[in-house]
Amino acid sequence: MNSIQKLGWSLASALAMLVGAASPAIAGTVTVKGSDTMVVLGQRWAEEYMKKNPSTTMQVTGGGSGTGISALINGTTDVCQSSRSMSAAEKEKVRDRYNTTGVEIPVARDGLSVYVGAQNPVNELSLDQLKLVFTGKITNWKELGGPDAKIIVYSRENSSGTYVFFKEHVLKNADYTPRAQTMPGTAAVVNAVAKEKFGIGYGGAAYAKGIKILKIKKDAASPGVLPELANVKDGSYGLSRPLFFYFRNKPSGEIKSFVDWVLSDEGQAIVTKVGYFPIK
Amino acid sequence: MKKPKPTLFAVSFFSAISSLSLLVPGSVSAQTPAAAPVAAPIEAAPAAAPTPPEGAPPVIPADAPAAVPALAADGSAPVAAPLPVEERLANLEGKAEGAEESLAATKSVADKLSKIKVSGYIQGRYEWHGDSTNYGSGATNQFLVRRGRVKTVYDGTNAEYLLQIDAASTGVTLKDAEATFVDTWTPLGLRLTMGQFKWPFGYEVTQSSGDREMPERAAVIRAMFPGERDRGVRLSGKYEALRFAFAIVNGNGTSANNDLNGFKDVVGRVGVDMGWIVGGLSGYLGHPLTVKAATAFSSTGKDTNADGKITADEVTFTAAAPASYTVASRKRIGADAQTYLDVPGIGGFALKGEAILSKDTNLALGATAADPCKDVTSFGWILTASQNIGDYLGIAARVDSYDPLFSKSLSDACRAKNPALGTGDRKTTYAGGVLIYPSGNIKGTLIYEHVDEQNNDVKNDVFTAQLQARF
Repeated sequence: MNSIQKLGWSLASALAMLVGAASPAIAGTVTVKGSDTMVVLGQRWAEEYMKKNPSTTMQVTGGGSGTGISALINGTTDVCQSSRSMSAAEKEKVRDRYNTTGVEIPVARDGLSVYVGAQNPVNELSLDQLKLVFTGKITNWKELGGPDAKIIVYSRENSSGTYVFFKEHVLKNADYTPRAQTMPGTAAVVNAVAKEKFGIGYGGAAYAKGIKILKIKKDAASPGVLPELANVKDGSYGLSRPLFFYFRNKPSGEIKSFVDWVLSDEGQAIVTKVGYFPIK
Repeated sequence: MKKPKPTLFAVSFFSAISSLSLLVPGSVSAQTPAAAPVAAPIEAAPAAAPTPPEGAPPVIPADAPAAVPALAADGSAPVAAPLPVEERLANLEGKAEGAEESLAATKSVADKLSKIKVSGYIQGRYEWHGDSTNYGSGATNQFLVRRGRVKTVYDGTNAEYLLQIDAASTGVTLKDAEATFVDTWTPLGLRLTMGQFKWPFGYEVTQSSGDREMPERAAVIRAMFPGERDRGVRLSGKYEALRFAFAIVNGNGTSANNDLNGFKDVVGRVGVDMGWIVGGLSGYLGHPLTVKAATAFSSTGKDTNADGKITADEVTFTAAAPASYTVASRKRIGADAQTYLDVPGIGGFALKGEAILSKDTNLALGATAADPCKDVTSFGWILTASQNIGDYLGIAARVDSYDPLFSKSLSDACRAKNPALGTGDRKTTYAGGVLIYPSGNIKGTLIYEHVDEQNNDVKNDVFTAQLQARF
């Protein structure tokens, strides 16, 4: 066997080994990963979709939008759920690795809500006041027209899309106060605020149970607006945001069927049931 | 069977655990006889102090800690008076505030640490070279660590620190050291960087070696931008789809510690990034000073007839030569474009092209007049295509050409003086192979390159098998 033949065999063996290793871990399973805000919504969609398509297996997990986007880039999820847009740097990573620009599909809308304890007399805050609270410039409720009590701030981990959205749109990219207590998910924020009379936190509208949602004023002169369907749709609610599915490539096959169903009236009805707002 | 009440069950459970601790080797007191049955009753185990007889005052060991509370007058155990509820609450609030402050301090440190991002990759490689003239020097085929990168980035609000080190077979070198001031006030997102960084020129110079389809950059890039980096100051930014970056640099790359001349080079790129299509124009203006070190007189003997002796006619004498300096005015322009298409059912397809034209015009230096025959015009181009096949596999091909001295650019007088100048020196490389991505952090590369010399083709093809792991 000459050196060229040896080289050819080496090449073929190495290729076969690497291609074998490259096979997907679980064939026929659609994995959905990302936003904690969307995890319950994703689970409801998956449950209903699997009832109608018993041959399809779906796995839905959270971890945060950042985690989902990383998983999409690393090829460990088929669908990324994200409560924020992908950054330019993340899009470039998809492009460098997959030769595509990625596919972004808005699947629902959320009115990012600000929660306070049910007994808290404060009913509305402006975006500027929220910035001062979450950056630690205002630390007492009496500065906001409330009782003389310390504000307990609850926030999210930096892998959360909600954390990033709130930081960009409310804090204008300033840092959160180091006194903010970091919670692993929106449910944990709601739970903490429900137990802490003078707490304040933020998260998806669908999680708001046992707490009070504040009206948000775009500025000091604007009226306070609640995250309700009409206000989210017409844009009068200051913290309205789309919730996204992201893909590496244009969806096809099983994944396309799932996305089409999510965007159908049936899929969008689940959005409303869970507590978010339909995209159409 | 009726389930036990939770409280009772918990008590039973913990009792059971306590009993079990006697069964765990090592948990039995050292004074327990070795032959004692492991299920011996608890009473059988030696106590730390003997139980006093009923009615007798308890015996306090002499070495008892000072914290042992004093006994009451009647010998009964003391009972501490409970603190008022308000005082206990105040104590707890104090403790909670202390814990909160401690947490805030810890979180502040953790937040800063979370802004430090460490990444890197290692490229382990096998290379096979068809260049038979190298046989015996150990370069025909070899394993090597081509790149071992560690990059640390601190992403602060208005400051960014970036340091990248390469630890490879050839040694440890500094790749990037960037101190960047980040603008967060204007929509341009300006970034002012000082330090050592890649020349902002074209596409392949700035592309990460971890992302590139081919093992090495194209010949034109390796020749015109050796090391891809220089030291200086850079301003970059973007607005919507517009991208721009300009830099003032020494012009010596990273090989020299000092700038050899007083001139600073200017390099930059302006482009657009529309997502699926990207393109830009680049320019470079500089004054390179080429130094040829002085050489001393030397003689070299070689036994050309292999008779075991070196005779006078087998000795070569090299005359001493003074150092020479050449200064040129350097102008380079480049154009690059990349397009990305999602091929349904197959995967992403990318087509990337780049062309660079360079002209070094020889300048007068001291008493030496400018020599137009030393002008150098070079031209090179690169075309790369890659197709992903699903998420785990890809194929890639690249054709690149580099003509280091474009002979037609010389005057007739120069060509008449030296007809061979700049002829037959163009090289074209055809490369192709397979890219495998078993997981997000591993990339396998199998690439074969054929180098086609313009006039004198030699066997210098290269096969590269590379495994890259990144974090």
